[in-house]
Amino acid sequence: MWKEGEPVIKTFAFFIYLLRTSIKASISKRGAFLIESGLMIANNLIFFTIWWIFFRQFKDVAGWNFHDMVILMAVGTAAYGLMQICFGGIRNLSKIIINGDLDPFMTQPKNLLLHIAGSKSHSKGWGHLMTALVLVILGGVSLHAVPLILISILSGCFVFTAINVIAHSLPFWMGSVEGLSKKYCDALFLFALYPTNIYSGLLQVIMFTVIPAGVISYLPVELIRDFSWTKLFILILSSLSFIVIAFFVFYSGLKRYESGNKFGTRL
Amino acid sequence: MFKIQKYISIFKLSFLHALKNYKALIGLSIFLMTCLIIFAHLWKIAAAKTGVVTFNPEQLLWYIAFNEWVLVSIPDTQEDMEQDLRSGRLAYLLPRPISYLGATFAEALGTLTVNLFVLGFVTFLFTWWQVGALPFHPVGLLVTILFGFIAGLIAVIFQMLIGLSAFWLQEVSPFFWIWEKLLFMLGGLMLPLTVYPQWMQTLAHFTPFPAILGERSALALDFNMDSILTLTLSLTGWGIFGLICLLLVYRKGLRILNVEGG
Repeated sequence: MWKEGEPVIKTFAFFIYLLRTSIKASISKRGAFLIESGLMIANNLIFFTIWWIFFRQFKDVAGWNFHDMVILMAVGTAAYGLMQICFGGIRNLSKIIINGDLDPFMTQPKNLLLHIAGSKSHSKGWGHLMTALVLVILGGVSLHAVPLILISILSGCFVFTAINVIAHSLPFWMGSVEGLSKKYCDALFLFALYPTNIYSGLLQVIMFTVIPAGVISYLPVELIRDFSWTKLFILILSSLSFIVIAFFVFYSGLKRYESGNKFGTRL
Repeated sequence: MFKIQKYISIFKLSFLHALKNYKALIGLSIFLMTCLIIFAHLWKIAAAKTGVVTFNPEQLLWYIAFNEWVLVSIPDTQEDMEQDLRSGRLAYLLPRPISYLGATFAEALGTLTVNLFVLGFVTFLFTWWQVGALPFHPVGLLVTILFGFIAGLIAVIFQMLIGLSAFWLQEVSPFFWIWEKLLFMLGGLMLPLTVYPQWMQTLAHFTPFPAILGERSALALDFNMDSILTLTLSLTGWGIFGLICLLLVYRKGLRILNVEGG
């Protein structure tokens, strides 16, 4: 999982350099960057409008008011945006596996998963981050909630990344299922923007495990509504658990990887 | 070889490829059933809260099932087109004695057909098992299946249009997401259209979204000739409009084509 003799600090430094290059590349075409970011803001606002209409008519949903929904949307979109900016390469993982393109990554003495994750940064992620900023400002979020929101965004980003790793590792076992992986990950983002407290029974279990929308959005909102160290601990522990599972799934699948005998270099 | 036979061959290849990829079909079926349960729950909440849902609980699950069936079946053609344009592969595809748009459409049609058949079968059995009743006229069901196929075709045309935006953008997904969100919202998937303000309901009827999802699904449960006629006109109109836009944008795109590394 971790290359022998590879210090964590060095790996982290490598990832930062890689990320810097990927971000530079993603924003190099200014026109496209601005259009894509603008479109993502529009996309989020369309979704936000639905909830605005809903809460305008019915003041609360299972005890949550519109303000809670604003925090949910802000945390959900920012976490997703951060994932696209920092770990955008994961979205290509299934394609890389299917095409046998892992070889150029594997020949380099760096952590494989981090290398793939940092190899691409999506400019549209900035649109998500900007949406979150607008929502936080317009939602009148109090200053003392900001650190909790930042922790929640980071935690959500890790959960999104972990689920993307798991979903895009499916081709190791199932072959050409790229479309399925993508649909699953998009569904997670969609359901993360729903108030998870409306579910009950088996659905609630699903929403905290198979589709962990609850970990991404429900836990942060509950944490901000009524802070407790236990909730914070559960949030951090949950996101760390998903990361560990993601690493385990990816490296288990990697044992099944068959090289495409592809010659290539990554500069 | 006649012109149409080339496209039929591509359709056949894509059909067989999608059929052989049974693991993806199993995965999509599980995904569809999960979405069905989640959306059914959401609609139950919305129905209890708003009181504007005209369907009874049995009909409601069938309505959502007919929506999800088409939605999950539509292949991500726009992503393949983005890849063709960005990688420069288009340069190798253009000199072939076959239209790029036609070949892409035939390929998407093959995948769509398999998905609609397999997922349709799974959706039907799962919903029947959940509801325990078939609250619709058999002819209504057949017409809805036919319209489901046409709606899928129209969605593919519009998604190809989104794919062509790669001529100008690095990624087509922002456009696709907007399309998808509007489809969810104005198509009546997330919440009943009646929850929205009147202006939004009116606006929805000037878009293809209700015909692709909500109105088409509602037809099975409220089968009448007027609705069939309206839906036929609507789907035909949007299909022609989509095709014209597709051809125009493609021509415009080809004019500015700059093959990366080509």
